[in-house]
Amino acid sequence: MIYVPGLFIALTALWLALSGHGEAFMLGLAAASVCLSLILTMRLRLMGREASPYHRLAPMARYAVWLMGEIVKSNLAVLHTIIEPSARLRPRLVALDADGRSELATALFANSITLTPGTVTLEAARDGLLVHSLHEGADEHEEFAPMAAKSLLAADGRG
Amino acid sequence: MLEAIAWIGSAFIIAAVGLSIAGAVGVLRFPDVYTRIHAASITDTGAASLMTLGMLLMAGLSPAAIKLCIVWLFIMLTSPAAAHALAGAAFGSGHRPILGDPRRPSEDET
Amino acid sequence: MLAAGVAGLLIAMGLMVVRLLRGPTAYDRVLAVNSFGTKTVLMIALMGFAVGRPDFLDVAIVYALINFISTIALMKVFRLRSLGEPLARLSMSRETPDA
Repeated sequence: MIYVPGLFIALTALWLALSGHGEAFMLGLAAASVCLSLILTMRLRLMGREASPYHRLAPMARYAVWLMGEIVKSNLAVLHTIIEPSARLRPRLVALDADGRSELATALFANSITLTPGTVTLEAARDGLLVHSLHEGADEHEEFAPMAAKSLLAADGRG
Repeated sequence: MLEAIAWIGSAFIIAAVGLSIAGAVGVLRFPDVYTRIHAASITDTGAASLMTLGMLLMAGLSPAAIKLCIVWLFIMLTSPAAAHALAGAAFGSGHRPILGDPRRPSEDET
Repeated sequence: MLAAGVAGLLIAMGLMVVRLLRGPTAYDRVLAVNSFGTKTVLMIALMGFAVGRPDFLDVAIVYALINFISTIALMKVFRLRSLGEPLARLSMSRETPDA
């Protein structure tokens, strides 16, 4: 069980960063709140490999950097649609296959889709995603292919 | 030098406010809930990121910088969850998205 | 400069109020409230800098959390009340479902 000390360290660091207090009384309150959070997390059975994927931190960080670039691009695209009077809206629904992803990979992919403006995940299930997209794309499945591949690589470690 | 960084920070903040207004205009202009969610997510991602960057440049290395990063992280983690809950609930209750070109209703549109 | 930023955010929030009042569906209104909340978080943080009190950031953090939880709670209420195909495992096809 590496997850309990891991979460303990993370919560303590968060508390210290947010408060900056060092008196004994405040530290006691901090210990109490950290312990309460730990107990609640265990009661909800949220502790585990899926909830805190330490083994995938480095690929996730690389993926986050790539995702930032995508967010900038799609922000500009949606901004263009808003401020250009002649810009055409062409909303459509796209169904994407699950391709045998783990739940972590599905969650990461669905979240990435929703985080980039212009695409929203309507439904995320084990057998696929249903996505609402704002723009006309050349080919709907090609458009999501890079994000699908990269999120799968980041979460599951396979391409 | 510090002056220059503060000015760049202000420029980021003004750009963020511009994005935020653009997102609000989009929420007013777009035809249905689903398209409006796209416009609103500009404010959630673009404007929040730019504004955090701008304020980070103005704050420099300080406890406030850590808190700014935490605010940004919260917004980036929660906004897709909220948008998905909204879109999923609207879709699950039977609201149909407008598809195709809304200004020229075609025959396949119901 | 910061004052101009706060004023701009207030304009954006005003536009959100227009969407909130116009609707037409409840989901539009919740979207408007959620987006209004995000702008409020940014404005609180900005005002903290404008008046030189970074403690405002704590308020911004709490506001961001409340904003998220309220949206999720509202959507949960909406979902469980709607009896028409709740928690939909609707068709994964391209067509919109027949409501």
